[in-house]
Amino acid sequence: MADAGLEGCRILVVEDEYFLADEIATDLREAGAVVVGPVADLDGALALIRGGSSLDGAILDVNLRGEMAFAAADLLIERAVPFVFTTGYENTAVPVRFDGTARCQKPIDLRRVARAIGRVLRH
Amino acid sequence: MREHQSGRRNDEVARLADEIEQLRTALEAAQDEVSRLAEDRARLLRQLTVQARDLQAVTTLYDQAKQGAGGLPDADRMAAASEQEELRVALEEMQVLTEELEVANTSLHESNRVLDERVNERTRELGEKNAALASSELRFRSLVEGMPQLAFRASETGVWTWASPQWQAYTGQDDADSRGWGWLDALDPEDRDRASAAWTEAAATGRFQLEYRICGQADGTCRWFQTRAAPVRDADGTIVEWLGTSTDIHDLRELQESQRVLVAELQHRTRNLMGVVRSVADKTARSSGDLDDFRHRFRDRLEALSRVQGLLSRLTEHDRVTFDDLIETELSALRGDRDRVVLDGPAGVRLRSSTVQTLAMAIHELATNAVKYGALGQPRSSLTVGWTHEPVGEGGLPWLHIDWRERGVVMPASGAEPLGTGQGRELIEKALPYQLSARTTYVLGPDGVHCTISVPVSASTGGGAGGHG
Repeated sequence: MADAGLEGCRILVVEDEYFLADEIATDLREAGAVVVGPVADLDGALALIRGGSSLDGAILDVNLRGEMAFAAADLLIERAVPFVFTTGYENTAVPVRFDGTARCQKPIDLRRVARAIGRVLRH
Repeated sequence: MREHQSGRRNDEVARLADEIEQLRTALEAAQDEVSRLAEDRARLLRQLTVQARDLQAVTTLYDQAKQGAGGLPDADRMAAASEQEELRVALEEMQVLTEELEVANTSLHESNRVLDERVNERTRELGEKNAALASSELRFRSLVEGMPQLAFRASETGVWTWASPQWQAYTGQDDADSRGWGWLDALDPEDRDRASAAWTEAAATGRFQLEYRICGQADGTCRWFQTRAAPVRDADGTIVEWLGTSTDIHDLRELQESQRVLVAELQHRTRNLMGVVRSVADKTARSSGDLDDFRHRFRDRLEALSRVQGLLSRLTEHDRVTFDDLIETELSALRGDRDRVVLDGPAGVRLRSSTVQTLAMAIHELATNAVKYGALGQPRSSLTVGWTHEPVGEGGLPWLHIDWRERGVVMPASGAEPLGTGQGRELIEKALPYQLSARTTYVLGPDGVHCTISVPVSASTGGGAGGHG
């Protein structure tokens, strides 16, 4: 996974399903990334984004225990942190302001996520 | 259709009324003629009376003269004769006139009678047509007032001329309020522009169909209606008016919306479930000795997941799985000795749907380990599962506190944790707190496992909606 370009990157993981969060975090660590989180809810995500420690990227589940993660997405954009959305289904209603944000369907392919974040990182 | 029939009937009634009017004029003319003839006769009678009186006077004079003077002078005699001649002529004239009069009278009576008959017949016909029209209008009104739709008529595109009593009853607008563009006031303000724009379009297309919200007077809430209107055209195809109805589709829309939400939720759960299955497979593989071991344990966990889906799928929208349901389902699936389990807690503690799957998996791991290594696998051991419901706990939420206590288990040598408890411990110590905000403890005591799980539960106690999911 070293070719994904995540080596040493600090990646925030926001995912409400424990097993998925654990899996993503494990894969990220194997790819040499530093995992921030994971967190399962919006408040936790907002706190980590505001927390001061720098972030190189984020993986954001759109639906967090029935709550939409868009406030966290706005904050990430404000802080110029690249991120991808993960969704449970194709036609999840995502506001148009996130049209430029990559979306990955669950179960997610981490290499794809890494490419999406890595691509943004390299630019 | 109905409007056309009713139009035809109206034309016929108008034609009959015209004809009756003509007959009346004819009758009046005939009556004029009769009275003119009657006047003639009266004039002649007066003339005759005068002449008769004259004749009488002359005759009297003549008799007196004859008795007194022994004879009339020639001149007087001649005068009397001439008078008599005049009288005779007059009488003859009158006779002729009377005969003429009688003939005229007879024919006049006859034509009068015919006219009368025709007037009566036409009047009766007109009455029947009117009654038919009234009954057809009554049927139309019954139909319009009996149907659940709100009906209206519009003279031009969008300009109302009439609203059915249902419209008035639902919106509280009276007839004057709804006329013209007044009906727009009863619509949700957000829908008014759309509604008036749709009428502009209808003028071009000859068809009106739109869904908008109409506000009820009873509680001021707006409900969705589907409104359709069709133009009524005259023989030339020109639109003379529009007839329309609004049908309440609010419940239907709500049902569609809740189905959309349910389908989305189902897809969300399915995707997550795939992720969970993948993760369970990975973890089981990592802790399995060989493929056969993997196969058994993986199948066992999949079956537990299936049972949970079974519980969840039985629910209707506002139902919740209760903890007693969940523990019974899990324990009855065990191959261990069910008699050595004591369940001690209230029935009907409703779980949040989002918590059911992970909680069930944790319980499954505890139970599986108890059968393999603990209280349900050894002859002198026992298991008590106690639980309490705390209506207002941490964060102001209702909580469920579960206490899993095994006793009399002969534990392996100190420090050697039973095999296979890894995934169970991870579920309890990590997954439950992470995913369900649960508080958990897991202790391997000297005579068995003691585990506590506290988890927020559904705030609803009856049929109402609870937490998400």
